[in-house]
Amino acid sequence: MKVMFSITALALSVLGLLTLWSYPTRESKVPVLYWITDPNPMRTLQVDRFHQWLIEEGHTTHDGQPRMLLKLDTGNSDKSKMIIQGVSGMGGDIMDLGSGGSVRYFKSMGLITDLTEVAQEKGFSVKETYPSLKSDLSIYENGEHRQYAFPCNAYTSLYWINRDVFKKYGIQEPNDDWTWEDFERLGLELKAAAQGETVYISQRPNVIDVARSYGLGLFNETLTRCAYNQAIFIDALLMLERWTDELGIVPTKADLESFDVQSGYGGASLQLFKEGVFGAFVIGRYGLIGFREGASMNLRVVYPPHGTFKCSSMGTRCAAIYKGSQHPEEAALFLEYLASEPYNDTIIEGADALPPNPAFLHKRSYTHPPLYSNEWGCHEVFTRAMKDIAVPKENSPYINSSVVERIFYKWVEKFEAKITSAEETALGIEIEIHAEMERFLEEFPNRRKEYQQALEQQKQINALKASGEMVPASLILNPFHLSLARRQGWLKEKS
Amino acid sequence: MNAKDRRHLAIGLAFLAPNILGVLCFTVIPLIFSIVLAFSNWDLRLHNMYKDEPLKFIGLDNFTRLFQEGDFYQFFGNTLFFMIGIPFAMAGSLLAAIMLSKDLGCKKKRTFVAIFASIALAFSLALLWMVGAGTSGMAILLVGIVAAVSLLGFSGGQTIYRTFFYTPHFTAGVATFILWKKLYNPNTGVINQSLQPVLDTASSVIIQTPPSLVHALGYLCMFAAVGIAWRSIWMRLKAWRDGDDGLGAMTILVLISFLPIFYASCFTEYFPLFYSVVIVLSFVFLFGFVKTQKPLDRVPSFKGMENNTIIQILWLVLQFFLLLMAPVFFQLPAMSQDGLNAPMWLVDYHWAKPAIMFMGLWGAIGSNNMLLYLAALTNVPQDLYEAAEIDGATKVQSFWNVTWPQLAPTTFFIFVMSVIGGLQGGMEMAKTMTNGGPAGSTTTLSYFIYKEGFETGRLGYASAISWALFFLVFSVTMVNWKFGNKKN
Amino acid sequence: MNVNSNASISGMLSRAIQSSWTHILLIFMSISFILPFVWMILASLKPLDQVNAPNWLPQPDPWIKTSDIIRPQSFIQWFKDGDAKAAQFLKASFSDVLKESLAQHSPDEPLKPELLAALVNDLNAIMSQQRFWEHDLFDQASAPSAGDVKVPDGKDAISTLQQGQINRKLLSLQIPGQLSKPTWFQWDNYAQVFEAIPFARYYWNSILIACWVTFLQVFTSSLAAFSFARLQWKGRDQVFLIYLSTMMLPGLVMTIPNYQIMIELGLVDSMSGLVIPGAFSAFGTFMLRQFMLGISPSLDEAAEIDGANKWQLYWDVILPLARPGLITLAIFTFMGNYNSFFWPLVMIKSQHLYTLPIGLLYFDSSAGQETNLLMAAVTMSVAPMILLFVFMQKYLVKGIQLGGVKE
Repeated sequence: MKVMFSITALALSVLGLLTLWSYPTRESKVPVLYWITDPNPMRTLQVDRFHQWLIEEGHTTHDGQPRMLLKLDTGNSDKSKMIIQGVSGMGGDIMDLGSGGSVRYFKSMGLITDLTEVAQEKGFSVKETYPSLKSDLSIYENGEHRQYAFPCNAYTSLYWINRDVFKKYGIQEPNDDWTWEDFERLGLELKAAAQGETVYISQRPNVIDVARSYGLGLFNETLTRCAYNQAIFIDALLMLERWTDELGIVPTKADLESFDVQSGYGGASLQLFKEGVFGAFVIGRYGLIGFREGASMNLRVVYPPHGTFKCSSMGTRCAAIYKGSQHPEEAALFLEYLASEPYNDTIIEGADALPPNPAFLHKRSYTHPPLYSNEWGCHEVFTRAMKDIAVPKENSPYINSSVVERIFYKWVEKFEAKITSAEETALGIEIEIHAEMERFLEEFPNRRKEYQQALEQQKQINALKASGEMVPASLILNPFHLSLARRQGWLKEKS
Repeated sequence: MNAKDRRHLAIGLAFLAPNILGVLCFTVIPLIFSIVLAFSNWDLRLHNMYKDEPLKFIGLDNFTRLFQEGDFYQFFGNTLFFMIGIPFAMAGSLLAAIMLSKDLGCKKKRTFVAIFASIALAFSLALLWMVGAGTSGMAILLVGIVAAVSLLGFSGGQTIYRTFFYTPHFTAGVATFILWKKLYNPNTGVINQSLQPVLDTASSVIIQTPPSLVHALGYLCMFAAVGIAWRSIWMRLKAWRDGDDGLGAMTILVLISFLPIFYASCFTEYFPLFYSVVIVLSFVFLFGFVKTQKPLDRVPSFKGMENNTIIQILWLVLQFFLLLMAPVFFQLPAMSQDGLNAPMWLVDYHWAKPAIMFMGLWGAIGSNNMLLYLAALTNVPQDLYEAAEIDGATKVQSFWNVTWPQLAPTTFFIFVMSVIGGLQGGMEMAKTMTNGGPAGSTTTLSYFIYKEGFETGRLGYASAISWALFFLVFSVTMVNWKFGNKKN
Repeated sequence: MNVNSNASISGMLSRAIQSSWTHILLIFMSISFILPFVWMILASLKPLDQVNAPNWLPQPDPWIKTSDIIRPQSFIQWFKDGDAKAAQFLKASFSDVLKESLAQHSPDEPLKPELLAALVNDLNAIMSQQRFWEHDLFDQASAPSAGDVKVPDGKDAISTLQQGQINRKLLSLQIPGQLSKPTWFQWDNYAQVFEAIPFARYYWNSILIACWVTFLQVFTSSLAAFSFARLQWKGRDQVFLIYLSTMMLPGLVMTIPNYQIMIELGLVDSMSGLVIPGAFSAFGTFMLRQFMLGISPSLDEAAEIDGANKWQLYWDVILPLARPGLITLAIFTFMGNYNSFFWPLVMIKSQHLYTLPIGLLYFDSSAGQETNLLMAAVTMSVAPMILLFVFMQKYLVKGIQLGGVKE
């Protein structure tokens, strides 16, 4: 035993040393920055082009090499991992965040840098990207919007129509102007024509989107209260229930699970769409990554079905600079690159949603990709949608978005499992969100004043709406209500 | 303390030093840290390297909030539900250990079987090759596996079986979860693929049988559950009368035996009257028995808890199962009219929990527990068995009178460790398999801690949950300790 | 004589029957335990699109997938009306028989299997020719950039990577079809694991870390266990109880404080950060203590009479006798650590320090699940543990001596 112990100790030490010696050397003359992002194959190309861009723009050392080295870090993109490492000073220099509250959450922890000034100076301010993304990228505090991120891409989800499926069953394709009634009718027609074969009109629409298309957002105009305890939301829930359980025109979660396809990029249901199980499919332009693989399809893109208000959901994957970064200036260069043509070209080529800078939507390489000449004119539809109907996600400054998500899905899942009625679900969501808001204000007492002000503002808005007057744009903080009001004509833009 | 004592203390601590330093540094310090913070508003959004708000101590607020939160009780219930598997897993481990500790087969037979099995194996492989692995490939594959296992088992004996039994343990972790997610797939998963034909046959059989016959099965379940309850009560009473069990132990165990029936009478729409009558009758009988048999002890003793609790739990779970089956039988004729469908497992609110529990059971039977039992079995002195044989005890009797008491410390240890593990478990499972859903039905306390701590940032609150959990584990262990491990 | 042999025969028979029952039960249980394992190994040998197929066995895979009926039909459409250069080229290269039958084929009826087989055959032959790839088939718009497509030397030399490139090329030619290697059992998956991630490095990291943790834990635990089991000192049993109670704490809550400690010690993102916190365990101490209590106390007295001090008693007497216990603990620790997931996930940032459970997440990510490769990787990663278990098994049972916990 003695001998064994000693030998083991010796052997392990030697092996440990050998391993240490075999590590890749990390020495570099220029600063090395890490970009924490998802493992998309396009990222390598984007990094290479960044180094090229640095040289072209003259950001070089004296021997003509790029003044910094950007490395991909795709292994640390798990959100809770980013948080743990971030709060302990170990985060990556550039972090990819999702839309809908991530920026706000990371900002509230103080993990990301305020970019407002440097963005103005270097030309990657919110003006360079889609105007509606403002609420995702910047945070309204002390009476002004401060920018904390710049998009890597932007997306809006539209309905891709598989024309072959509609042709096969002899059913008329929907167009940009279809309503939920059309959706239901087409679904029933498809189902009847398919005669037992599994064909769905599309995946299950998101109940948030349905409610939105009837003019109901998750929050009120000032983001102070949850607005879901209303007939519109309850009807939306019931509509979805009818489509899944009664009519069977969209699959339940279990149905989806049970077609078992190996999921590639875009998930399992995208493969099903390619196989003709769905008549339509909701996904952003990045669906093309999947559609370009394999057999060519016959597709067309249309706006989502609508109720009283035509809209599509929109979001972004955006890059922020870590507070603890040793090289904030170099990191800012990368964000500048995100607004530049070479980067936007990579997004256009790779079909990784839409380029961050809408100026490049008009390039010929966007509308007519050289490698993929026949793409059904889908690109222009996205440009149009982005301008006309895309509405960003709502996130309230008085509650964590992850908490909202948890509460919301918990109740919707309860409803789907038939444990609660639609009314109970709507009420439950409202009560719990309000309780969490109250808890938030207890945790952050310094936010209460602002909250009270916003409540006052809400009263003002309600009064104006009740009397049928126009509401000044400055009062409305919720991006959804802003575009709703604008389109419905009760918004008073700046005079 | 004299010089000699001090010297002993110094030597003792010197040997302890390397370990105790590590434990201090990586367990005790973080622990103190977390207990202090459980009473504070520690929050990642307020307190981290880049944000330095003053830490506020808020007394018991975190705990009061926790106990007011409805979700907490749901998640606690989920955690307990997953632990129902523990006694079964232990029984399985023990059974496996007993079989594996036997001397397996004689040499001559081994060669015979080996030849037979290798022929079958070779034959099925050859078939596999020729048929080109079509649909019949599956059947051949199965034959091949059976043949291969038998071949290996007969020739290798214990070593081989042990390795087979231990395989779930090798793939522990994320791989197992992904694997089981595939197995549980509602349509293409292996489980439903084998279950659906069975259910189809069953439904066609049920349609042909008169409904009253099926209902009779339901009654049978009910009576069986009641019978089990009465039997275990009778056993306990007898043990008490004979002086084997203390009064305290008897009372607790008897009351526990009523639990399932009581529960059923509260919730079922089927014959609450029946259950109420059963309960009342039992109590009358009990009262009479206790009155007549023996004067009551002044101080109730808990003698006999150790050997009986786990068996009692096992019977209890069986009772629950039977009581659950009764309404199923009553509804079955109506249900099978449109054909029976295999459950959707992980995507179904009601089936997700049992699905996870079965998975845990599968992993737990052949685990380290089996090894612990094996070790304990080899340590049982042979002469005890010989003495029992001389007394004319049957196999079963010698198991209950010799083996089981000798295994008591091991059983106790495994039980405590399983309970500790069970209360703390489920985080990785929930993260990779279900995300805690549907509607929170598979969220365990540890996943709750993870979500509150790392997704919402409320670390103080997360610490409070952990400490509530700790006190739960601690009290369970203490109860076990108190009643479970007395040397008779 | 006769009676005797009868008795022995019936005795043998009854014994045989008895042990057969045990065997049958054991076999049944074994199978239920290994079936998922078997599935895993078979899935690791399948192409990706067969992983979820009801049949567990891999199916032979044709070069051009025919799963979609639309595809061959639209191919013929393209072939007939197409004036693209690629179509012209193919027309010129197809065998006469095929050309004729394609021309006669009406686009509305489904493709006959013989025709499809002939088509696939010809296409394969054409594509394996150098000329096909060099031929200037592309319109200016759809020309792939230089270096995009490498020319395969021949049928057998086509790797999966090239397959992807070829598929892309087919796509750019607007040929509706997809090329994949004709395989049955895809042993190639195992090689691909090494191509996709630095698997060998992760493997090595995992093993080295688990070995270090095991070694340190066995060593420190045996010292502590010796102190608890063989030495008399005041307050010993109380300290032991505190030790035991640390096992009851939920580990999650200690993650952040422990992480902070690691930062203070400068051990984040290093191997030591994974080894050191694992090196001390209450469980190991407990197990070895119970084992050491089982060693006869008279040995201590004998050693003392010989004039040995406590260290000599530990090193020369107890440790050799505790061998089965040490080995058992070593196996338990190794297996527990080898699979550990959450702590390395949080601690490790650099890729060259990844352990297997973390590295394997690559195959189950948002950019696509590659279950077949994942299963191949898992199969490889469990292999050392199985070997360890099989060879060390005889110690395992001997090494566990729980005894009475409260002694």
